[in-house]
Amino acid sequence: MNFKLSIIINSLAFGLCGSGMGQNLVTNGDFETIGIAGYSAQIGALPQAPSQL
Amino acid sequence: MTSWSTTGYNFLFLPGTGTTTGAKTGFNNQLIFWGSSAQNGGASTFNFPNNSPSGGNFIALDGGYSPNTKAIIQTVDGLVAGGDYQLTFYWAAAQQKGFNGATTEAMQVTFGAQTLSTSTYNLPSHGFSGWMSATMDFTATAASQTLSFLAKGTPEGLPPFSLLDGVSVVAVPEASTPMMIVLGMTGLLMIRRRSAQCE
Repeated sequence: MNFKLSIIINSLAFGLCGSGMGQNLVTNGDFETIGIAGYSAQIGALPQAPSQL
Repeated sequence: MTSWSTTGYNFLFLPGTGTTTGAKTGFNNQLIFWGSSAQNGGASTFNFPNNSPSGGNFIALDGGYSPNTKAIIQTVDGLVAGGDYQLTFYWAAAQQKGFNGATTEAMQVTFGAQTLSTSTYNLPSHGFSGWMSATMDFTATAASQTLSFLAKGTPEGLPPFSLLDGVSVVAVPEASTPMMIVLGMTGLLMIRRRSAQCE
């Protein structure tokens, strides 16, 4: 019984965690830390003011 | 920690503004969208839906200002070559205040060697599309690859802006993974039932 239980628990653990399921691999995907760490450094140097503005 | 970078004509907007007013390094408060509260002298009668569904800051990318129309880029690590990944994000089409005429907007996404695009949005003059949800599927070819968003807009200079927020890349579980979960759950239920019968 303990062996069977071990296999079952391992299956669950592998299924849920083994593939990194659900983890967002993008850093700052909501752009919340830009501006706190330094907007110009994070988002790049802005070009010269365009004539359209 | 790697994050976003760009050399393009892309801007950070704080939530609830519709303008760069208040941004850490805004554009002299000059970049405003039609329909924003600032466009109407501060009264929010134009109902500009500033915040994306994920809330907080968002990015605006000028899709029609060559040669300054450039992508916003991030290197994504922790991938498995050959693995499937699902990209989700929110985007919207907007037009800069002070310009007149219909525009088109789309968001082109490149992840590694694959490039996909949203459908093109036809925006009436002074319009706003509202926030739209996009989902794209990619297959990684390396453990680390570049994710980029490039606004595609017409005509040049009106200018057509694409807004971006809530970017997420998650691994798509292999077919065997849900099977493993089902197997485990079935096994646990069987043990529980057998235990109940023995009592």
